[in-house]
Amino acid sequence: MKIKLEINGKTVSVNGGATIMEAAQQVNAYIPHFCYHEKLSIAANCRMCMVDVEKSPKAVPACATPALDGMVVRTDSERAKKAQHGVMEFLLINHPLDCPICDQGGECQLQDLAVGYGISRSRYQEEKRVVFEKNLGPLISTDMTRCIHCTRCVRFGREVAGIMELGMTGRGEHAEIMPFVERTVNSELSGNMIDICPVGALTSKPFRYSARTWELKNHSSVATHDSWGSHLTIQVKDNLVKRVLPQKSADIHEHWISDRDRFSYEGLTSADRALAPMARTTGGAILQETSWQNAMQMSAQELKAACEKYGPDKVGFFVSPRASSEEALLTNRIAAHLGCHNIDSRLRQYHFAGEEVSGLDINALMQAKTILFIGAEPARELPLLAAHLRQKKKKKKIFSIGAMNIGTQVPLAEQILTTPNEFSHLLERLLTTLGGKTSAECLTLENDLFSNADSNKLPIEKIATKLSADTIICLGDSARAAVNYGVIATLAKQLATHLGCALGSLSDGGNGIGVRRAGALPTPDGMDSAKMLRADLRAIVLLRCEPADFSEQVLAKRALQNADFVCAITTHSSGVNKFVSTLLPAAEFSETDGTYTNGNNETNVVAAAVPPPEKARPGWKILRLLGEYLSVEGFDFNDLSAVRGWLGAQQSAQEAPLPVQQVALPNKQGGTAALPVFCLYGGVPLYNSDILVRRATALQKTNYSKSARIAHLHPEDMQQNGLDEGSTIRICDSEGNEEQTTIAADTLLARGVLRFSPRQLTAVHALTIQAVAEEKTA
Amino acid sequence: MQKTSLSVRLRQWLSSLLLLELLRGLRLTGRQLFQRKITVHFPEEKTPRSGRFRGLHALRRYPNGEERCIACKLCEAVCPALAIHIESDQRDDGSRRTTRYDIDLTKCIFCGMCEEACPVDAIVETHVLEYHGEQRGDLYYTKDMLLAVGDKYEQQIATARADDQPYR
Repeated sequence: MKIKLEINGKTVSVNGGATIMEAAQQVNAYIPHFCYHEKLSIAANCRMCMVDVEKSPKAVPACATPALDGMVVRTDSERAKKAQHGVMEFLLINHPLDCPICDQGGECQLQDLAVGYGISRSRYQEEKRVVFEKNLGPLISTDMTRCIHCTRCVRFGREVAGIMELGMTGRGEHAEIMPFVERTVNSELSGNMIDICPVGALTSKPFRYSARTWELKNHSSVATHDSWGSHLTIQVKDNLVKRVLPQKSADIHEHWISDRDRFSYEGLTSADRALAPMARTTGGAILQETSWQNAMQMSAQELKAACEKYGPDKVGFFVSPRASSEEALLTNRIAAHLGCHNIDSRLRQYHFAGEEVSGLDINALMQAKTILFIGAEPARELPLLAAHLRQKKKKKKIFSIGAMNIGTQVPLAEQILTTPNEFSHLLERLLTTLGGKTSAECLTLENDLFSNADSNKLPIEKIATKLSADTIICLGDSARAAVNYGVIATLAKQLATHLGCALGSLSDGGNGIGVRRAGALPTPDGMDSAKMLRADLRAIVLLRCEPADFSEQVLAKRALQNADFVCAITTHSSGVNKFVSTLLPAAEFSETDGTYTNGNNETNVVAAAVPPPEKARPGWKILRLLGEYLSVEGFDFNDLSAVRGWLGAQQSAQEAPLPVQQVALPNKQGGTAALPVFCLYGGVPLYNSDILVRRATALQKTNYSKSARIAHLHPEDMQQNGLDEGSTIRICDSEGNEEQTTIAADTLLARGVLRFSPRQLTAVHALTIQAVAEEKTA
Repeated sequence: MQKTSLSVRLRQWLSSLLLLELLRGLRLTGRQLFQRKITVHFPEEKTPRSGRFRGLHALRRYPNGEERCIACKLCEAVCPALAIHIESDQRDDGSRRTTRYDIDLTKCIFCGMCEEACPVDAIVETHVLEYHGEQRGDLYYTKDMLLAVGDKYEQQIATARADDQPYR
């Protein structure tokens, strides 16, 4: 129902239930406000938005007053102005007015509105109150004396971030915003509280005091840490990225970005940033700085030599899923020129024999009535997807089959907690319950199920009855890292085909879809990344990745160690400098032009915001020159437009999935001796996802990062095996490798699952755990 | 050209013949010759300067030795000649401080706006005008140099500020 009202003499028609604030926005009548935020619930506690309504005895708050038919509103009458002046004077009573040292100065709503709607001097002579700082963790710095108690941060936590980590205590003069006792703010979206704080109470800790807002130049960009591809505003001063903010847009990106996208820029200036081309002279132990020409010549010569000596099958190209599509395409062309088919960007996958699931159709997701997550942890993989699913308006039935209880992240209707080894088995049962047929190759081999739960009691049927054509099935990275991912993906595809519903993946990586389309996939004659690591390659080219980007870190390091020649086109050197023969310093995402495709298949062309540091160059220029030294055809272009033309042509080509092949699942009896066997969780820790994030110092200080450095088990599993919280354990794999770490309890994990990032282990799907006797010092 | 009357032309001819203008000039010269001289023997002697005189810049400190500047960068923002360059960071004690404060005196137009913008009276202009540089770079004043100027002339800066206080 439409209603008509008059605001400042202009007639406006709005839907019933709209507030005066919303109506005023339609006629561009600005009403000053602090606590009102279009994406949050209405609190009406700042009282700044007072407007004059005819026949009302007092001025009313515009954000909380519903518009009524025939209402006559004035936002600039004497009465409205008097109310606004009064409120502003009250707000400023306890505000310290320390704008000169406040990071919010220049973009502060209170500052702006005090100029626009306040009076020019203060009548308050008494003492101002002081509020002690709160420790909110390494990302948010606080100056709580500046707080005006709008409770935007509290509402953000409750409504968007999903966990209420801040609250308001006390009343009147004693009101304070504070975290729960001895806690910090841990949400993966916490950085948005900095943006929505209308004053300088919550500001960015890494940015603190480093620049003023008016010095910063804005550049548009796209985040490359997950396949959501948030749109960013990169703020630059003196050719350095100083801050990253969300770019407001009406679609799914809304106003929010994840902390990973916001604070990863710190990695751009890390100490191990590759700044100059380096080369190791033949047999030389030292990596020395050299000229670009030398490094290029050497790289091209050695690559050619390796191809001639050992054959192109012994050469491998690894492409980071964060590389731009152009870089992937040029790498593909170089590999093709050398006759090499070994090129891959799926570095965190073990099993490739099966369907390939990629992309996440946001439209299908928004329209879906039910969502089935398989081995997914949305808040960690795509933080903004989780934020979306938490919103009450878009109620969906969400089911999960996974190794982690995600009920704290999204509202779940039903979930099955199990080990990644059983995903395929459960999918198979789901499919047969629905009357579908699985192909013979997918049948789960005889194995002892890991979890102790009675498998007949699992709510398979309950889930199966709710699935329909309006479902979307989403695979997560715990599934992708499973020992039989190919089978899981094939079964998920069969299930989706049977239901006629959509299928998607959360774990594609920043530009995973783009680089795969551009050709960072092995041709049928080539090897995938897991095979390449085991193929004793003689020459390896790394494009913006390092061993920590691989799920099999040890094998990656070994492969790099054994190769005769390693060329790393990389942004950071510390991960690779032990192995490389030539190191070519490349530009990061904010320093290079590039094309990025997100999970929703939207392609964004991004321009560089800053030039690369010192002698580093954009990846496409490095590859172009390398190609020219190798005399690859067509590599005499001078800008990206030619490459983008090739990209357009390449995009139509589609890769055929490999025939599915089941693998023997490790079972409980697989371990040596009588030690308990655990299945690895497989999900990539939130702030360990890529080369840049691993070097973002503030993110590495978060509780997420701290917990990612140790191993976690379900408390009952710990009890059964006599492990105490914080005790040291030895983790062994079936190949005899072992490593030691500290163990902690995680009630969210499934039984039989070990959450841990292995650094020394090679066969990670069945791990045994042993308590290490602590040496007691007298 | 307008025709001038005969009497005017006659008067002009007479005055130029009798060198009257020259005599009038000599009379002024003669008068000044015996008056008190006003030449100032700079640098031994100096003319009085207003308390608001805008000379060489200085960064001030509080009496306890703490630098006043809080790196708000308002002076940098207001400077019409873009002569000021500031970099800021958090000091170990958590306070906001400059890591760099440079004024290029060859760019500076001595308008005094930096002084007016400063919320803590940190950047000020002193009475000093007798400074020079032998090379272009000598007039690029860094934070240490500006603080040194402030330390040297603090007494005079403080007096000037106190005198001006009623009018600010």
